[in-house]
Amino acid sequence: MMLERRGLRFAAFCIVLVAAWQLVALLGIWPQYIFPAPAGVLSALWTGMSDGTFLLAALASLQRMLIGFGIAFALGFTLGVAIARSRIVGDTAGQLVLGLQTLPSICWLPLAVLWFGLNDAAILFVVVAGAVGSITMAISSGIAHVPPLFINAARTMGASGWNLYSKVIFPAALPAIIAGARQGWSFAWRSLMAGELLFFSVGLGQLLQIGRELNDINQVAAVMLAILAVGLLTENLVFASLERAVKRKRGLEQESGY
Amino acid sequence: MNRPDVESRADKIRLEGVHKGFPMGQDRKGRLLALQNVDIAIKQGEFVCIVGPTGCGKTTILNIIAGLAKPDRGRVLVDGREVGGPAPDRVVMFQEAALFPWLTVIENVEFGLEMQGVGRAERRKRAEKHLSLVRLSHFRDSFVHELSGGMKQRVALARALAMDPDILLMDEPFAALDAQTRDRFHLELQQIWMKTKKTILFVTHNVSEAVCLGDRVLVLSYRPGRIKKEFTVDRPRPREYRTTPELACITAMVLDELRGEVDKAAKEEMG
Repeated sequence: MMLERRGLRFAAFCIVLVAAWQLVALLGIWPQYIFPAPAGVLSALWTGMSDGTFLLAALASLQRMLIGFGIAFALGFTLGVAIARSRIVGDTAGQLVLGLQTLPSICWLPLAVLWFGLNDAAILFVVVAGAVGSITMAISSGIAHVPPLFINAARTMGASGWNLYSKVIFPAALPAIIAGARQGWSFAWRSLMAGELLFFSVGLGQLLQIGRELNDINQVAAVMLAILAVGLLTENLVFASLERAVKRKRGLEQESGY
Repeated sequence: MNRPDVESRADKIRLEGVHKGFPMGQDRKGRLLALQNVDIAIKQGEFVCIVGPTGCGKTTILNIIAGLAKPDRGRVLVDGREVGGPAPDRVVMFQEAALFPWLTVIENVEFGLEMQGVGRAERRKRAEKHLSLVRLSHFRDSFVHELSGGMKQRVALARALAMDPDILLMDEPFAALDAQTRDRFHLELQQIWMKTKKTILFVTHNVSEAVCLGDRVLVLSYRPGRIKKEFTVDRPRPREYRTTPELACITAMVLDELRGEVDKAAKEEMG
């Protein structure tokens, strides 16, 4: 019920926003090719949806996302566990990852192009580089913060080695692991769009670039909306519901009536 | 002591000259001596309680026997063999139940058995039996956060007993419970002990609890922790504190012995 009310409130806010947008457009302060009207953007959105270009582009982008995020998660998970386990790895590789995180992911692109050429592999590299750091840090801190009480209790019951990890440490760190994956996903999405913008490929980022080349501001705005929508949808459908399910099971959900 | 049947038994747990210190101070270079020259011998099937002021090293003794901490000096023997780490013949019950929130109640009880490699059907059967022993069968599929504090400790007790350990190490397991729940636990724990004849080492700062439960009560001094005195409680079981006037008398003696230590602890904590 709480959720429905918040949804309604947000929908109302969006309607007001679009109305204000339309109003400003009607005032005609800026020419249409600089400041598009909602109607034009919506019709570009409709065209893109109905002729399948948006869908195709979104699917191509999502496919890259799944591969890139998959690699980033596998790498980040392994590295995160290693950092949490070993002080030496934490002080060396951990510090490096932390430092590299200050580098915007798009800065990896020139390097990627030199290594892989102008192709999908270069984009994937940027996606992985953009996401792996935050996943690594989230997972290592999630594991480091598993209550020692759980580990001690498990050890006195005979858990050790792989069992201790698979049956106690990973499940205990699961909320942190999901949060890390969620953050990694959104970083990967941003990196992917930046990568797709910069050279030719099928994908939402490329559609954005085409819109600019055609001086079609309606398409640019429409594709931006599509990117936003795909990002929001994947995050909310997959990660937010996963997070909620885990929290509910463990009684971590705050169910205040206020 | 007039317990010839107990005296003739072999030592189940033996601590010989155990020392344990912890790093202290900002540079962690100082050393806080928690335990000094601790000797304890516990017979098979004995119920022994250790009392002492907060911070005297009671939990450290338990952790050392559990194999979770290593003594700096001295030896710890269980069944005559030196302890080299945690093992399922010694299960710990902690002050907080330490149940896993990602598992249901019955899955928690099964956990230790699963770690022992007991098959699915067998461990379910044993878990169900022990859940009914602590009268929580109808909560078998609940999650941990749906239970009260007392119920959590009953699940933890079932989880420990399901593994059928020789030794039960209990670290103030009832400290966070209300008085009525605690009294019930005291009775139930004694009944379970009389039935199973486990060796129990029970650590608490609550003297009347220790006197009510223990065959023997060991008084630990404050920093460094040393066994200062030992009291034997020779009353029939199951005992109930309020219906056994002798217990109050022994409690008074233990408290007398403890008073100086508590004062020392308080002084040190206030600087």
